[in-house]
Amino acid sequence: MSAGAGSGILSVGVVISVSFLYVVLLFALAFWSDQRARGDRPGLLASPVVYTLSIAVYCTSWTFYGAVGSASRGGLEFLPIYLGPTLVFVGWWAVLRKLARISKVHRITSIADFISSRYGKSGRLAVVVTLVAVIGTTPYIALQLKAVATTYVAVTGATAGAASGSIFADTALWVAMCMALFAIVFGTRKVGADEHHPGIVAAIAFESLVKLIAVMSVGLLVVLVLGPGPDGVFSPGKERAAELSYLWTFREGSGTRWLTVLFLSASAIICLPRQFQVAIVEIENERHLATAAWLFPLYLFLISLFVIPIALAGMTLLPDGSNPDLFVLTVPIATGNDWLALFAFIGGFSSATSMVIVASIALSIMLSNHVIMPVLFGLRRARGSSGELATQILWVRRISILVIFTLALVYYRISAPGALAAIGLISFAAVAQFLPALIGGLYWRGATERGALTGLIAGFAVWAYTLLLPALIQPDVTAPLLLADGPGGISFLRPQALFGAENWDPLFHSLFWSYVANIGLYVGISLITRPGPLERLQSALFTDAFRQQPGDDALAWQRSATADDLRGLTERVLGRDRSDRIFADFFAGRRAPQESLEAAPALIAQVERNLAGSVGAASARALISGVTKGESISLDEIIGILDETQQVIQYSHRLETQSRELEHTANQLKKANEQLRRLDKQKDDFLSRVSHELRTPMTSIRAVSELLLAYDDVPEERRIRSIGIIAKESQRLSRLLDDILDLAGMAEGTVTFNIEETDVIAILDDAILAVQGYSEQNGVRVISAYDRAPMHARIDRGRLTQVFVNLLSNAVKYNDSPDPEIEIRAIRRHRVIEVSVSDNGPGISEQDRELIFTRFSRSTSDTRSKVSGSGLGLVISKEIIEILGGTIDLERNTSRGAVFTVRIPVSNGNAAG
Amino acid sequence: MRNQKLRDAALLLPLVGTFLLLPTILRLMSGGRWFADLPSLPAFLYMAWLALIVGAGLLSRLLLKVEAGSERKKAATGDPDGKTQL
Repeated sequence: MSAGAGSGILSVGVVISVSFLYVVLLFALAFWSDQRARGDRPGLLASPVVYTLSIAVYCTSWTFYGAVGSASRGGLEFLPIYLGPTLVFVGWWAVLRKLARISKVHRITSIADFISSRYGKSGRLAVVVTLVAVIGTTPYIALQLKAVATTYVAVTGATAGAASGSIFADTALWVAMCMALFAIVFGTRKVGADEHHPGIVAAIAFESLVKLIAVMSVGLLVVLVLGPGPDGVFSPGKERAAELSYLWTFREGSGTRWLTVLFLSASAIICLPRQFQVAIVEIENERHLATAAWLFPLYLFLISLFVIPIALAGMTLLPDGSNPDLFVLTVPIATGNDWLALFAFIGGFSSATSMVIVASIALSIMLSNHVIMPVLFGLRRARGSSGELATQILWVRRISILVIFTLALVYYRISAPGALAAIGLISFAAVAQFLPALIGGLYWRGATERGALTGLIAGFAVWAYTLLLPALIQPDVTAPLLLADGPGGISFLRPQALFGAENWDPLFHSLFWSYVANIGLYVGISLITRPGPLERLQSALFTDAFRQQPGDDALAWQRSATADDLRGLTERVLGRDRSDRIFADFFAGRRAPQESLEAAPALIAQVERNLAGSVGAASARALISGVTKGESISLDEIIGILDETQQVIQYSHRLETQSRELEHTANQLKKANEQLRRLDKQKDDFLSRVSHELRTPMTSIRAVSELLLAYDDVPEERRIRSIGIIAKESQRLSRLLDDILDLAGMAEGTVTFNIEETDVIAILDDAILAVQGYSEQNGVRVISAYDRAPMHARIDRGRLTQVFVNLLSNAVKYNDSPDPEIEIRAIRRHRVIEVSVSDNGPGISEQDRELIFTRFSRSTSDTRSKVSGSGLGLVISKEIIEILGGTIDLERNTSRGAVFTVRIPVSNGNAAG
Repeated sequence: MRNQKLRDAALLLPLVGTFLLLPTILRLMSGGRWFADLPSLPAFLYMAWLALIVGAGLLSRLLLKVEAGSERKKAATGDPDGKTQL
């Protein structure tokens, strides 16, 4: 265990007096800080830096010395211990912030109190959490005591050890007594409104600084002595490099352990009672977390920076077989830096003592609030005594601290020499059992007390069986066959190979099976049990922590108490001063008279919250029940609280969606309305145009026929002309009616199209032929500027002919150029056949462009008498082309006349050609 | 909107950290030598660590600013309970 004979150079006297002076300094610092905090001048004490340093109580002597030892044995495997907490703090926004908020609002005093509060202020849950914490972390405290004793031997060369000498010669006893005194003096000065201990926080922050500087000093020494360059810290000589390469490579098969330790240390930074105490209970201001989010990881970064160099130095400079756990001390000694070794010893002493102090206070709070006090209250009630409680509570705390130190010392004295070293991670695995209930309680409203309780007990039992038991058993002495063969020879129950899980990493093995039991039961039982009213209330308050306000819960309670009883209770538990202040604060903002006989529900809740800050939620609740009558929780109110926030959110979401929908509908309605109006107008227009168009031929038919009737002596030649007019106008009428019917038919879809694969060019030729007579008659030249190669499309032959004829005859009809001509082009563009008909006529004005494809809308400027026709030609053409899957457009910006272009998709069979 | 992104980033940062620390990644980084002949795995680990610290520092500052902003808004809209904050 010691670094070797003769290596302890510092005299016992020097080491003891420096340590003593250091402890005195701690006492002074704690005292001064307490005074300052009480004087409302916290200054530096309230800074986030002090808060962050206090969290660094995480780095115990196990990490101070053990990290180098672990690195010497397993290379970078020591790192996840620091990286896990880094991840948690970097992600403070997710979990830590909520924990801190809830703890502040509900005056949480410990992790047991937190879990118990969440699950309906359950007393039994608090007891179980407390017992798990005590069993899981007392060995860890023992480990710190052992570290101090061992390093004392190493640094002084004294021979006194735990196993050999009498207990009074054991350093550990004296250290334990000193630390117990410290914890009692500064941890139980008063029963506070909440568990804030400024003196202790200041002292451990200081100790964190000391241990960081100590490790870094040793690290710098190593870098200076060995040099960073070739053959230095990271590049030892070639022959050593191969041998030492495990220090900086990732060993095959170590992935599971790496992740397990990463997870365990991440959970430990929240679940270890002392970490919960400093990081969550002691936090003064939520904003401090934002600083700790990067400063604490930075601290871990710095404290681990020199671990590998120190390990290397130890292995290079010290004889083989030296204990790597002591390299932090023995390397300075070996290089003749005794004072640095002393400083390193103080650093290790700091990391051990700060852990011991905080852990013992955290555990004593839990032990007294959740285990001893409920019994005490029960006894008092049975005896009917009503004396001062405040002092008794403090004494219970003090005794609890002594109990914990005694337990740790006993464990330290009786445990096997090697058994303590592994306890760090075993401890982490124990408190990791809190994690499902803790995190589940933050986010899962349906989790119940019975689920949490059974899960926790089962997980703890599996942990004890698979991890604690094998660590305690000395293979050669106790039950030698249990580990190898399983209990009673049942091999699948072997503690380290449960259900046949052979060759698993022991830590992962334990975590895996304990979590299977823990989470399985937690979720399963929660699903099949119904939470009680108080549980439902608490679960709502916890899961919705950021939307609830302190005092929301008061609404849910229906209970009454006389103001006198309430005041009496407060005075007994918290003392007269605190009680007066609570009542004065409560009535300060209200008009209700202080002398009122009945205490307002809000006052009862206020008192309960204050009591909870001192004795824990479960005990506070029990105390309050003692003085209230007709206590019940109104289910309606709970449901109100449960649902109010959710309803507000849902309601406003719904409103938002609805108003969006309404807006959308209104817009659509507006559009539809406009369209209706337009259609209505079109219909009117259509009717009037139809009447007009019908009226013109009818009028001439009527006039001519009346003329023929009135005069018998109409000359033969004239009669024939008149009858010709009647026939022509009748034809025009029937053409018009045909067109109207045709259009209506297409609009209704009753006209059938005879679609077949046809050559568009041939149709075009036909159409040109059909209007040839008409064009010649009007003296219009027709230019066919297209290739005769066939272009196939799936169309109705007759209908497309109709369209082309219409376009061509329009071009002839409206062309008033002195040298009229029409040009027809047809080309294939990609998968579309484009046929354009252009003329050199007057063209179509911009304002008419929109109209020409609507019914009866001959160009407005078109007043020429020679123009005849129904005015439906283009409309029908457009309908036809659209039914055929194409488009018809009037081109813009043409240099001459009007250019109509028809585009028809080519048929698939013709795609390649 | 930007605030929401910021909060998402705050939740994402530890996930990124976890990803960087996965054994798969570490095996990739193991065995080589970087920079001044430093072993690559520790160099990678400490650099990733430092990057997380810097990331957390920047995000925390921004988040505090955003929170302070929304507190002010809450006070200004006369909603002291902040219950309607969505």
